[in-house]
Amino acid sequence: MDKNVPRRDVINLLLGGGIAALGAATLYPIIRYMIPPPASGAGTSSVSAARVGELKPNDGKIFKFGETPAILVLKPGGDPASASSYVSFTAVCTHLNCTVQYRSDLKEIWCACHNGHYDLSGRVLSGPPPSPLTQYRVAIKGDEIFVSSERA
Amino acid sequence: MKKLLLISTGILALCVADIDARESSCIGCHRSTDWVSDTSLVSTFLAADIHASRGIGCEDCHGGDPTKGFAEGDPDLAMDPAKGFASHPERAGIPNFCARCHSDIEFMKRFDPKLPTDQLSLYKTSVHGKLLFGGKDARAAVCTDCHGTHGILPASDSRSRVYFQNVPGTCKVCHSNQAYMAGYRYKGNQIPTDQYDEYLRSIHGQMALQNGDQSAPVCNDCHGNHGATPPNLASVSAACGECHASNRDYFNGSPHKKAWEELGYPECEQCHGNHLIVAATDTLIGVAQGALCVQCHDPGTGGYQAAAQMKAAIDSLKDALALAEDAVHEAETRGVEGGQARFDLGAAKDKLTRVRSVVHTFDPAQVTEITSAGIQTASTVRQTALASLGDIKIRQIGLGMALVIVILVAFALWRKIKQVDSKTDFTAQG
Amino acid sequence: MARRRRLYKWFDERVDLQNLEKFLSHKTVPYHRHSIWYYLGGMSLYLFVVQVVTGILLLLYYKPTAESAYESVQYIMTEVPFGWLVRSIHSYAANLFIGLVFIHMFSVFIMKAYRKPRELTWITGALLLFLAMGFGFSGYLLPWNQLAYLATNVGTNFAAMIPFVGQWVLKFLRGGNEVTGATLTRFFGFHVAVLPGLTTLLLTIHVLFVQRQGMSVPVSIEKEIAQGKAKRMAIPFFPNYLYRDILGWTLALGLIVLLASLFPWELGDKADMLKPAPPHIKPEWYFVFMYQTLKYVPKVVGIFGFAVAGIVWVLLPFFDRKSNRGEINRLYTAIGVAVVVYMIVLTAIGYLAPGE
Repeated sequence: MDKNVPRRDVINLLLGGGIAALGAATLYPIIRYMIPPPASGAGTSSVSAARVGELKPNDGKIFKFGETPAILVLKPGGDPASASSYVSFTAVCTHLNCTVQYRSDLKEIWCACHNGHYDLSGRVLSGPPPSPLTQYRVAIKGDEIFVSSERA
Repeated sequence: MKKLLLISTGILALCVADIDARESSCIGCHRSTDWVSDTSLVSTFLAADIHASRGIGCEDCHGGDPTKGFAEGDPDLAMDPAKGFASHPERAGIPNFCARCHSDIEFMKRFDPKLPTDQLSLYKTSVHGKLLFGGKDARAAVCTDCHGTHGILPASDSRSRVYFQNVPGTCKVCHSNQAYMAGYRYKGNQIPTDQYDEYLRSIHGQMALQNGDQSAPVCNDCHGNHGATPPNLASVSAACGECHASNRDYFNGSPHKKAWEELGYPECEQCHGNHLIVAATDTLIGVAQGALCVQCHDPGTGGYQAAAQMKAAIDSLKDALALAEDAVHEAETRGVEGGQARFDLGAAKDKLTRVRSVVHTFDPAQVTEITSAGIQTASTVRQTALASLGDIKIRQIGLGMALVIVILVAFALWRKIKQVDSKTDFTAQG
Repeated sequence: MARRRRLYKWFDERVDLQNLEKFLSHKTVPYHRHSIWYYLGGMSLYLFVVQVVTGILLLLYYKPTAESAYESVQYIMTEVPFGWLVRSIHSYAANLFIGLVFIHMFSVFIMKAYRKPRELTWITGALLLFLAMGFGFSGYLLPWNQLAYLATNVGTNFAAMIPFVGQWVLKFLRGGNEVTGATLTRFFGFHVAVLPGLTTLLLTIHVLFVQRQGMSVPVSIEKEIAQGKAKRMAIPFFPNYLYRDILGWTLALGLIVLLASLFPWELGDKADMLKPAPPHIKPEWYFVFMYQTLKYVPKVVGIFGFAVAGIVWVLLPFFDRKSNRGEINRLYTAIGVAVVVYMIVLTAIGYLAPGE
């Protein structure tokens, strides 16, 4: 390395190098930002709840819908590939907000906290819940089951 | 003789059922102030009455001939004893009077196959019925006291005196009247008259009367309607357990069940009251002043320790939840928490709701099982939230490095400016 | 080297680069003891470009409805890689941009650069300031958090006090009678379409004029040069002035990075229309001096006063005859300083006074 490198070159190097570094430090985040992350979108109104075949007939699954739990049920005797065999509701019990579950012996949705029972239309059958469970729409795209809270 | 009367009335009803109540001669006079001073009975009957709307006319209860009298201007033609006219029965005779139709299954089937026809037999087992038939006390409630006379509506109709929201007001007419109830005793004690006032202040009263929540009990949900009796000891938890099933089951499996049977305590009512049932809070449990447990359990006893343990467990769960909530909220508002923590926190909160029911086992082991799980989840949530707050530090380090580059560039620019300036004559331009 | 020359030749044959190069190489910028203020316009423009770039990036993920806005910003801050950075930069650059535009405007005012022949530059500039404040006001609501919701409530309430058309203006701004999701969507439309469109138009005119007319030299300096007390100095635009410009931009960027790391912009709580407002809600800082003034004078008088002041401010070049004649106008300098002091004092009172 030449000891008498002219000062001009040093400054140009510093400047060029600095600007290049700044450019990279700016461009890298922008490019990473623009690539969509794997998590589902914000302000969720639609979520992929399960894959076709994940649930057997007369079985239910709790999944995350936004920040609250939701339940997906494949009705007894239902065809796993058909969207109309599934029903989905919010899993937040309308009584005191416990998380409900599917009871395959009763073929009902049940809340363990105070023994609230809902039928597969979300209506209250017995127990303390004052109102029915909000129902979600189910659609199948490919082999994914999507649940949406948008009104029909 | 009774059977004949029953059948003949039935036949009469069948015969005259075709006459529109509005056209009958009874209505003609009783609707007109020329003939009677009070026309409200008829106007009520025509406006909203289940009997009127089903084609049951005045003559079906009062007898007489509805086809003549008004046009002729001669009331005796209508109010003819020969045609069965009998004005109205005395109070003591009313239950049997109504039962002529309402206990006749074949008759009632025509109107609604599902209508019950056991009201009279239930009534006979009730306190009201026993007083009337057994004690010959006509001050006891009879059918018309609750259902009315000419504006009778089904219980599902919100204008009815026996619509769920109106039931307390109907029972209150007698049961809140101190003068009326004086002299009546139950198990040797004067029957109180403050039930309605207590009920109004209770959680059930507020839910039913203010919120219109049909799942809340009114008088007949616990006492029965036609067979109204106070629930007796063994069945208090059965009455409450209709809705509060989990609590009933836990209680029935707890040491209190047998102990209280022996002590003669009225199960749920012993701690929660009967009419003035307020929303239960965590202060009922424990050994602090105002808690219920220490009213029986002295310090040093097993019960005292169990109460203290259960309260402590619930309190620690609440503390853990509060800490977790603070951490999650902080992370959310600072913009580092996306929703997973709040989702998990919900599961922990479930445990608190659950444990407040499980306390009815009065078993610290079962209570602690649930609270420990809840505390575990809450702590994990808190750790996650705090960890994401740590993200902020990482970002600051990254930005610090970027700042170094920026300062480097600024420095290089400054030197460059000095460099090009040194070769420039500022006055030569201009 | 040869490739660069060939590239140059290709463009030159089509758009006459040589002419442009000649213009640029001969372009100079006046150099005197007040010429440091010249950089503010370029820095404002730089920050505006930063806003446009970060704003477009935010647009890729933001959802402008009351149900999703807060969640989408939360998503950007927590799930999108460097989303927190884009958002923080956008928020800080916004405030820096408005602050810088104010300083730029006041430096122009005090140097009387608005005098003939630069009246139109001033007018477009004043209008650009109003647009910038509109950007700030509309953008502030977009995260749909509690603070923004309440500040917008307070801010739009004042619109109702405009005589005659007040209620109509309020409804127009809010998209209804109250601040709701309709307001949010409307503000979004203003923020990403209406205001950028108007700004592009005015900014193009503004910058074009500056390029055509060059920088204005203060009257006092001109007098000194005329009297032989000082020499007329200038530096070449390229590369001397440009390097200085870039240095200014770099420092602005550094300031933003510093602020973003020391005081990360918060998300806050989601807007809740049912929660009562805490007692000390204020609009954003650049509105506080107006907000505070309106606490001391009757509202209608205040609003009317600001409206008149705004109009006079825009048409200022036509009021200052002395400067147009090339004479020093100490009165207007004093007015300028007074206005700045007034704004600073009232803003300070708004934040610091007890009970505020």
